Amino acid sequence: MTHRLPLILCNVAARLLPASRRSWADGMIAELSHADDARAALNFASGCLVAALRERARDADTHIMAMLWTIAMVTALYAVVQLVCAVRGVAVLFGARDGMMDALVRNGASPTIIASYETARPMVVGCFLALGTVQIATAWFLSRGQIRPFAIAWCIALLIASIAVAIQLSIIRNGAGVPSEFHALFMQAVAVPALLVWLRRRQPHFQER
Amino acid sequence: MRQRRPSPQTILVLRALLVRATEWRYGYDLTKEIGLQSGTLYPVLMRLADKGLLESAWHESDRPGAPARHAYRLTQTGIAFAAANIDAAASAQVGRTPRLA
Repeated sequence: MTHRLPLILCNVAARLLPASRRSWADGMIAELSHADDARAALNFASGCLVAALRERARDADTHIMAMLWTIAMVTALYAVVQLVCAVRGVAVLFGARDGMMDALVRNGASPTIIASYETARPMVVGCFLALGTVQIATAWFLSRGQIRPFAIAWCIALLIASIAVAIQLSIIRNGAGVPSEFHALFMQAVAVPALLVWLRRRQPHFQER
Repeated sequence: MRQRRPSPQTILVLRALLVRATEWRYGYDLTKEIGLQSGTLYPVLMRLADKGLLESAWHESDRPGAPARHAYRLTQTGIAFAAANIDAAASAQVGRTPRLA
């Protein structure tokens, strides 16, 4: 006697259980045929679902993936910010109001600095666009646990961010009151590797997928 | 390293398995016999199997058309572990019982 809802619950439990527990999942499903009645089967299947959730929560691979996904989400968020900046930059190139220019004028920048900024603007917008795109790739590789492609993409992102900061510093060395990419660059250069090192120490059997 | 004392639920499972140590037992039957929910029983069984205290096998079901059942029993190490820990748990229980003056 197999009951529909309990069978669904047991199948969900089987999907939730880590791959190493496959035989246990099959065992749970097989036991449903021996339940005394529909109520007992439902009770048993609900318990199996709880057991599967507990096992999933204890699973080391799940912990690793959860941490990688967390870092990937933060990286993706940062990428979205970069892409929004790029879109706004493109709008500025087509005549929209430029907040950075306003900040420079407000801080009494010389005509030479303003001219340098205007020259460099397309390059900076290109940096934002490239940085956002590469960071999306970075987040993608990280979410799939592909550490080597992630590391390559991260290095490229770091290079692009460094170029953006170098351009900014070449225009204005003392950027008080002017938005800067420096802190974002610093965060990216330090925070992501630090999180991965921490992850590797916490999960000694951490392996690239 | 000091070994952790088994939980009361684990002791219940070990006790049930030890009663008929040579027999293969099934998950659903154990939930009924011990009175534990499957959500508690299976993680305990998995933990015991991980430690090499429990062995499992697939047995044909006695019900026609039903799939093969996953059966469990204690290993020799598991039997020794169960006996030692059930005794220890019983002693601890006695030690906690308030004495009458």
